[in-house]
Amino acid sequence: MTDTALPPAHAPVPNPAPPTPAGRVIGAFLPPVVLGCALLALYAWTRAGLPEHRQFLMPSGQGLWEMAFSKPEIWAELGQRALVTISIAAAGMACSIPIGILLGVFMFRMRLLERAIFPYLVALQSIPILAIIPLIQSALGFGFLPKMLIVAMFTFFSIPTTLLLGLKSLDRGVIDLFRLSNASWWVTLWKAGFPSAAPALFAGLRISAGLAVIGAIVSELFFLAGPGGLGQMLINSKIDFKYEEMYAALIVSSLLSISVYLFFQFLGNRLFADWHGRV
Amino acid sequence: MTQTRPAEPGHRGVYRLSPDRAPDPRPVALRFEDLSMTYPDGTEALTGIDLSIAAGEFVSIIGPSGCGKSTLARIASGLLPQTGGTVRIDRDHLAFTFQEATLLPWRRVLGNVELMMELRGVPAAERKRKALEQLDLVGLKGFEDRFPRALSGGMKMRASLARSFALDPTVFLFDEPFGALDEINRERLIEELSALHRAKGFTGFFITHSIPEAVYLSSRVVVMGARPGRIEAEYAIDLPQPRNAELRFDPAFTEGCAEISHCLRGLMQPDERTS
Repeated sequence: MTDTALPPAHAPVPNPAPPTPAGRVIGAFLPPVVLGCALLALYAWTRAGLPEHRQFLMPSGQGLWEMAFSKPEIWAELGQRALVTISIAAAGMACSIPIGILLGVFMFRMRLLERAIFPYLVALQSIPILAIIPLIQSALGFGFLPKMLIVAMFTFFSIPTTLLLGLKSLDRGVIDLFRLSNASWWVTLWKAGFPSAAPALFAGLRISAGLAVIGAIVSELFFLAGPGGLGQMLINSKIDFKYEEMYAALIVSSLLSISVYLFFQFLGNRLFADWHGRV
Repeated sequence: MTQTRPAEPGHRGVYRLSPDRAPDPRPVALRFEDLSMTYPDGTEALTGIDLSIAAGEFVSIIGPSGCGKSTLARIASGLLPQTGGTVRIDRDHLAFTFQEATLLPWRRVLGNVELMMELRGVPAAERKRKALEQLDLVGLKGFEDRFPRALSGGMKMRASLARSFALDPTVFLFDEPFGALDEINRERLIEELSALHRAKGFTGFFITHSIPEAVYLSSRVVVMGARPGRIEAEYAIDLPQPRNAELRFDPAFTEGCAEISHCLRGLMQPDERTS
């Protein structure tokens, strides 16, 4: 009772120091760089473990440089073929985006259509597209059109589904506002539905974009005639036993895929970062 | 506690109105006649609603949750068709403010305030002029280029009110517009709305579950009971105008609130009363 001594004061908790600009850069880039180095080391280690006659499967950095990236003609070929691949991907998406958007709007307009169409959309998604490529070939030949169609099939699914999801999540109160002004269904769709659904649609477009390049490359694996893209180069380099060139084509394919994804991300951020936040 | 007193000239305070009083001679802005609403699942939301609101009057509807007061506002606005009875209202000059601010997140504040005018075909220049005027009126001057997500809850509701005021409504419906706000913001907005009502003279139809809010704003408070929703009592709020924050501490105000509170408690189901 007589002990009037105050309990010892807690040591003041120091404020955490704000991160320096350099610290922020390191924080952002160090983790992926470290992981990337670890993966490269794993690659080198696996390669070293291979018997010599199978090491062609995993070309060394030096081999890649000497046999592929140091040669201007390889660069020219890669550029040309990338252009072919990207035009197949773009043409396919130019098909699937408008049709997908139309379908999404139709399904939103009529519940009956949604009930009718949605199961088939899911079914389409579950068809192994690779398995029907021979059929497409037989029906449409070896030109540009069948490849475009394959890309369209790869990229189609996520467009009407994400748009429908976005349209359906339009705030009821916003619909009420438009109804109070006797706005038509089209005005409501244009001024409220589309802007509100756009972020969801763009999430779908980013998924589609990644699949578009994959679809374009896959479509070419089956079409070796004519001026081809990167997919054809992958097969040709296997036949010619030029694995360094195959790796070069693989790297460029990935870069292409990533850049299409980044393009849609950039576009999405340009359009809605200020009200919806960045992705 | 509940006492029926005739309207005496010069009497100040809150008093219960007799159901068979003489009709209000002023022109009617909003009238429900034997209105009823039954949902398709058989729920009886409203029954036998007879209520007449004179032009320029500010009437609050108060009642326990689930008594159909929001339904009543939606029917008045035309968003929900009633299943029985009639509504008389001029919907061409109607504004409706919801519980939520309901701003379009992809439009800046100015674009949001212009929205309803835009949908009604007001020319762009006039739209902008009016929108800026209303923003000034609700204290959002300088915020016209912000996106809604950069605004606080109170500011969002101010923008929502500006959007409604831009329509120059003759009848203004409110469905618990300040329910989600903190006390200080709510009181300030109530004071401002009361002043705006005096200045503009619109007819106010205000749904709320807050007794002081209803008493502060209104010239009449209608108490509703639940299951099915019906009108239980009406109170005249004969308190001086213009009203200001000090009114809340006036004995006439607090006694009036207490009387309405007792009336509401009397309507509660026994299980609700104990909780």
